[in-house]
Amino acid sequence: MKDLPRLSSIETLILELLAEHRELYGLEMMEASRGKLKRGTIYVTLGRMQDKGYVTSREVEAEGRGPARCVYTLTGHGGRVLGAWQMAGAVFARGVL
Amino acid sequence: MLAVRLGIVCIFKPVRWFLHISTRHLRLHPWRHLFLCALFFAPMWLLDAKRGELAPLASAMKWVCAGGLFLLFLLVSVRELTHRRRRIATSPGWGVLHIISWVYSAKTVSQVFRPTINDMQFEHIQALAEGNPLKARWVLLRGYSSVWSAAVAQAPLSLMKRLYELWKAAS
Repeated sequence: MKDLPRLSSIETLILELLAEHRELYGLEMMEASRGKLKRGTIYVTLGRMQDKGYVTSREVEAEGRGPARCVYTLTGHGGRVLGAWQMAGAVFARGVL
Repeated sequence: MLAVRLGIVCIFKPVRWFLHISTRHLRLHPWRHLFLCALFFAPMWLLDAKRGELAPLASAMKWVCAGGLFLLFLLVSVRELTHRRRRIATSPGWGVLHIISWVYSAKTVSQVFRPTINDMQFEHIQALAEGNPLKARWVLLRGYSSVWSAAVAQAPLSLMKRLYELWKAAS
Protein backbone atom coordinates (compact mmCIF):
# COMPACT_ATOMS: atom_id res chain seq x y z
CA MET A 1 0.00 0.00 0.00
CA LYS A 2 2.96 2.26 0.73
CA ASP A 3 4.31 1.84 -2.83
CA LEU A 4 1.00 2.59 -4.50
CA PRO A 5 1.57 5.67 -6.68
CA ARG A 6 -0.61 8.61 -5.88
CA LEU A 7 -1.75 11.18 -8.36
CA SER A 8 -2.95 14.70 -7.67
CA SER A 9 -5.96 16.02 -9.56
CA ILE A 10 -3.70 18.07 -11.86
CA GLU A 11 -1.46 15.08 -12.57
CA THR A 12 -4.50 12.93 -13.33
CA LEU A 13 -5.84 15.58 -15.68
CA ILE A 14 -2.51 15.86 -17.51
CA LEU A 15 -2.23 12.08 -17.87
CA GLU A 16 -5.81 11.85 -19.13
CA LEU A 17 -5.18 14.58 -21.70
CA LEU A 18 -1.99 12.91 -22.89
CA ALA A 19 -3.72 9.51 -23.05
CA GLU A 20 -6.44 11.10 -25.17
CA HIS A 21 -4.27 13.22 -27.50
CA ARG A 22 -1.06 11.12 -27.62
CA GLU A 23 1.28 14.17 -27.48
CA LEU A 24 0.65 17.79 -26.58
CA TYR A 25 2.44 21.11 -26.06
CA GLY A 26 2.02 22.83 -22.69
CA LEU A 27 -0.14 25.54 -24.23
CA GLU A 28 -2.35 22.95 -25.91
CA MET A 29 -2.82 21.19 -22.57
CA MET A 30 -3.91 24.48 -20.99
CA GLU A 31 -6.43 25.08 -23.77
CA ALA A 32 -7.72 21.49 -23.64
CA SER A 33 -8.14 21.64 -19.85
CA ARG A 34 -10.44 24.70 -20.18
CA GLY A 35 -8.75 26.73 -17.48
CA LYS A 36 -8.05 23.94 -14.99
CA LEU A 37 -4.31 24.03 -15.74
CA LYS A 38 -2.56 27.33 -15.03
CA ARG A 39 0.39 28.79 -16.90
CA GLY A 40 2.44 29.32 -13.77
CA THR A 41 2.22 25.78 -12.45
CA ILE A 42 1.77 23.45 -15.43
CA TYR A 43 5.50 23.14 -16.15
CA VAL A 44 6.30 22.68 -12.47
CA THR A 45 3.88 19.73 -12.42
CA LEU A 46 5.15 18.40 -15.75
CA GLY A 47 8.74 18.62 -14.46
CA ARG A 48 7.85 16.56 -11.38
CA MET A 49 5.96 14.07 -13.55
CA GLN A 50 9.04 13.73 -15.77
CA ASP A 51 11.11 12.97 -12.67
CA LYS A 52 8.62 10.28 -11.68
CA GLY A 53 8.72 8.85 -15.21
CA TYR A 54 5.06 9.43 -16.06
CA VAL A 55 5.75 11.65 -19.08
CA THR A 56 8.62 12.37 -21.43
CA SER A 57 9.36 15.48 -23.43
CA ARG A 58 11.24 16.32 -26.58
CA GLU A 59 12.04 19.62 -28.21
CA VAL A 60 10.38 20.37 -31.52
CA GLU A 61 11.71 23.09 -33.80
CA ALA A 62 9.16 25.73 -34.77
CA GLU A 63 7.82 25.35 -38.30
CA GLY A 64 7.78 29.01 -39.27
CA ARG A 65 9.16 31.31 -36.62
CA GLY A 66 9.68 31.19 -32.90
CA PRO A 67 11.69 29.16 -30.44
CA ALA A 68 11.81 25.37 -30.14
CA ARG A 69 9.05 24.10 -27.88
CA CYS A 70 8.61 21.02 -25.71
CA VAL A 71 6.05 18.43 -26.66
CA TYR A 72 5.00 15.95 -23.96
CA THR A 73 4.15 12.26 -24.36
CA LEU A 74 2.74 9.72 -21.95
CA THR A 75 5.15 6.91 -21.01
CA GLY A 76 4.17 3.28 -20.56
CA HIS A 77 4.66 3.65 -16.81
CA GLY A 78 2.48 6.78 -16.79
CA GLY A 79 -0.25 4.95 -18.70
CA ARG A 80 -0.21 2.06 -16.26
CA VAL A 81 -0.31 4.40 -13.26
CA LEU A 82 -3.24 6.27 -14.78
CA GLY A 83 -5.06 3.01 -15.46
CA ALA A 84 -4.49 1.78 -11.91
CA TRP A 85 -5.53 5.13 -10.46
CA GLN A 86 -8.73 5.25 -12.52
CA MET A 87 -9.53 1.68 -11.59
CA ALA A 88 -8.96 2.41 -7.90
CA GLY A 89 -11.14 5.51 -8.22
CA ALA A 90 -13.93 3.49 -9.84
CA VAL A 91 -13.70 0.85 -7.12
CA PHE A 92 -13.89 3.49 -4.39
CA ALA A 93 -16.78 5.17 -6.19
CA ARG A 94 -18.73 1.90 -6.24
CA GLY A 95 -18.01 1.49 -2.53
CA VAL A 96 -16.52 -1.98 -2.91
CA LEU A 97 -13.60 -1.26 -0.58
CA MET B 1 48.24 68.37 -27.57
CA LEU B 2 46.40 67.23 -24.47
CA ALA B 3 43.84 69.97 -24.96
CA VAL B 4 43.22 68.84 -28.54
CA ARG B 5 42.80 65.23 -27.43
CA LEU B 6 40.46 66.28 -24.64
CA GLY B 7 38.53 68.40 -27.12
CA ILE B 8 38.13 65.45 -29.48
CA VAL B 9 37.11 63.08 -26.70
CA CYS B 10 34.80 65.46 -24.85
CA ILE B 11 33.23 67.44 -27.69
CA PHE B 12 33.85 66.06 -31.16
CA LYS B 13 33.03 62.40 -30.48
CA PRO B 14 29.86 63.01 -28.45
CA VAL B 15 28.64 65.53 -31.02
CA ARG B 16 29.35 63.14 -33.88
CA TRP B 17 27.63 60.31 -32.02
CA PHE B 18 24.69 62.55 -31.21
CA LEU B 19 24.32 63.72 -34.82
CA HIS B 20 24.63 60.19 -36.12
CA ILE B 21 21.95 58.83 -33.80
CA SER B 22 19.67 61.84 -34.27
CA THR B 23 19.81 61.82 -38.04
CA ARG B 24 19.35 58.07 -38.18
CA HIS B 25 16.35 58.43 -35.93
CA LEU B 26 14.92 61.36 -37.87
CA ARG B 27 15.41 59.66 -41.20
CA LEU B 28 13.37 56.76 -39.93
CA HIS B 29 10.58 58.93 -38.56
CA PRO B 30 10.00 62.00 -40.79
CA TRP B 31 6.90 63.13 -38.91
CA ARG B 32 8.99 63.52 -35.76
CA HIS B 33 11.46 65.64 -37.71
CA LEU B 34 8.65 67.91 -38.81
CA PHE B 35 7.31 68.10 -35.29
CA LEU B 36 10.71 69.04 -33.87
CA CYS B 37 11.24 71.66 -36.58
CA ALA B 38 7.86 73.16 -35.81
CA LEU B 39 8.67 73.10 -32.11
CA PHE B 40 11.90 74.95 -32.79
CA PHE B 41 10.77 77.47 -35.43
CA ALA B 42 7.35 78.45 -34.11
CA PRO B 43 8.69 80.28 -31.00
CA MET B 44 11.46 81.79 -33.16
CA TRP B 45 8.93 83.22 -35.55
CA LEU B 46 6.69 84.49 -32.75
CA LEU B 47 9.59 86.11 -30.91
CA ASP B 48 11.02 87.67 -34.08
CA ALA B 49 7.66 89.35 -34.58
CA LYS B 50 8.07 91.08 -31.19
CA ARG B 51 11.80 91.65 -31.46
CA GLY B 52 11.43 95.41 -31.40
CA GLU B 53 10.14 95.65 -27.85
CA LEU B 54 11.39 92.37 -26.33
CA ALA B 55 14.85 91.91 -27.83
CA PRO B 56 16.66 90.62 -24.66
CA LEU B 57 13.81 88.26 -23.82
CA ALA B 58 13.71 87.00 -27.39
CA SER B 59 17.41 86.27 -27.29
CA ALA B 60 17.09 84.43 -23.98
CA MET B 61 14.14 82.45 -25.27
CA LYS B 62 16.12 81.42 -28.32
CA TRP B 63 18.78 79.91 -26.11
CA VAL B 64 16.14 78.19 -23.99
CA CYS B 65 14.49 76.77 -27.11
CA ALA B 66 17.81 75.65 -28.56
CA GLY B 67 18.77 74.03 -25.23
CA GLY B 68 15.37 72.39 -24.95
CA LEU B 69 15.63 71.10 -28.47
CA PHE B 70 19.10 69.73 -27.78
CA LEU B 71 17.84 67.95 -24.66
CA LEU B 72 14.86 66.60 -26.54
CA PHE B 73 17.12 65.27 -29.28
CA LEU B 74 19.40 63.79 -26.68
CA LEU B 75 16.58 62.05 -24.81
CA VAL B 76 15.07 60.71 -28.01
CA SER B 77 18.47 59.49 -29.17
CA VAL B 78 19.29 57.76 -25.89
CA ARG B 79 15.87 56.18 -25.76
CA GLU B 80 16.15 55.08 -29.37
CA LEU B 81 19.62 53.68 -28.84
CA THR B 82 18.78 51.72 -25.69
CA HIS B 83 15.46 50.58 -27.10
CA ARG B 84 17.04 49.31 -30.30
CA ARG B 85 19.90 47.64 -28.51
CA ARG B 86 17.55 45.78 -26.21
CA ARG B 87 15.35 44.72 -29.12
CA ILE B 88 18.20 43.43 -31.22
CA ALA B 89 20.25 41.82 -28.50
CA THR B 90 17.65 39.79 -26.63
CA SER B 91 14.22 38.35 -27.11
CA PRO B 92 11.75 38.77 -24.23
CA GLY B 93 12.36 36.57 -21.21
CA TRP B 94 16.06 35.84 -21.64
CA GLY B 95 17.06 38.33 -18.96
CA VAL B 96 14.71 36.67 -16.49
CA LEU B 97 16.00 33.26 -17.55
CA HIS B 98 19.56 34.36 -16.80
CA ILE B 99 18.58 35.58 -13.34
CA ILE B 100 16.68 32.36 -12.66
CA SER B 101 19.64 30.26 -13.83
CA TRP B 102 21.63 31.68 -10.92
CA VAL B 103 19.05 30.49 -8.40
CA TYR B 104 17.71 27.19 -9.74
CA SER B 105 19.47 24.09 -11.04
CA ALA B 106 20.03 23.56 -14.77
CA LYS B 107 17.56 20.68 -14.75
CA THR B 108 14.81 22.82 -13.21
CA VAL B 109 15.53 25.62 -15.66
CA SER B 110 15.29 23.28 -18.65
CA GLN B 111 12.20 21.47 -17.33
CA VAL B 112 10.19 24.35 -15.93
CA PHE B 113 11.40 27.83 -16.88
CA ARG B 114 12.64 27.40 -20.43
CA PRO B 115 9.32 25.92 -21.69
CA THR B 116 7.40 28.71 -19.93
CA ILE B 117 9.55 31.38 -21.56
CA ASN B 118 9.48 29.60 -24.93
CA ASP B 119 5.68 29.61 -24.79
CA MET B 120 5.70 33.30 -23.95
CA GLN B 121 8.03 34.04 -26.88
CA PHE B 122 5.93 31.89 -29.20
CA GLU B 123 2.72 33.71 -28.28
CA HIS B 124 4.50 37.07 -28.44
CA ILE B 125 5.74 36.39 -31.97
CA GLN B 126 2.27 35.21 -32.99
CA ALA B 127 0.68 38.40 -31.64
CA LEU B 128 3.25 40.56 -33.45
CA ALA B 129 2.73 38.62 -36.67
CA GLU B 130 -1.01 39.29 -36.36
CA GLY B 131 -0.16 42.99 -36.09
CA ASN B 132 -1.56 43.27 -32.59
CA PRO B 133 0.98 45.08 -30.34
CA LEU B 134 -1.46 45.40 -27.45
CA LYS B 135 -1.96 41.65 -27.37
CA ALA B 136 1.81 41.21 -27.60
CA ARG B 137 2.26 43.36 -24.49
CA TRP B 138 -0.47 41.49 -22.68
CA VAL B 139 1.23 38.20 -23.60
CA LEU B 140 4.50 39.48 -22.13
CA LEU B 141 2.80 40.61 -18.92
CA ARG B 142 1.02 37.28 -18.55
CA GLY B 143 4.18 35.37 -19.45
CA TYR B 144 6.35 37.14 -16.89
CA SER B 145 3.72 36.66 -14.18
CA SER B 146 3.59 32.93 -14.98
CA VAL B 147 7.39 32.72 -14.82
CA TRP B 148 7.38 34.29 -11.37
CA SER B 149 4.54 32.08 -10.13
CA ALA B 150 6.48 29.06 -11.43
CA ALA B 151 9.53 30.34 -9.55
CA VAL B 152 7.49 30.61 -6.34
CA ALA B 153 5.92 27.16 -6.84
CA GLN B 154 9.32 25.58 -7.52
CA ALA B 155 11.14 27.41 -4.72
CA PRO B 156 10.44 25.05 -1.74
CA LEU B 157 11.58 21.91 -3.62
CA SER B 158 14.67 23.58 -5.07
CA LEU B 159 15.58 25.04 -1.69
CA MET B 160 15.31 21.62 -0.05
CA LYS B 161 17.47 20.10 -2.80
CA ARG B 162 20.10 22.80 -2.42
CA LEU B 163 20.17 22.39 1.38
CA TYR B 164 20.50 18.62 0.97
CA GLU B 165 23.38 19.11 -1.49
CA LEU B 166 25.11 21.48 0.97
CA TRP B 167 24.59 19.09 3.86
CA LYS B 168 25.91 16.19 1.76
CA ALA B 169 28.94 18.21 0.70
CA ALA B 170 29.64 19.27 4.29
CA SER B 171 29.37 15.73 5.63
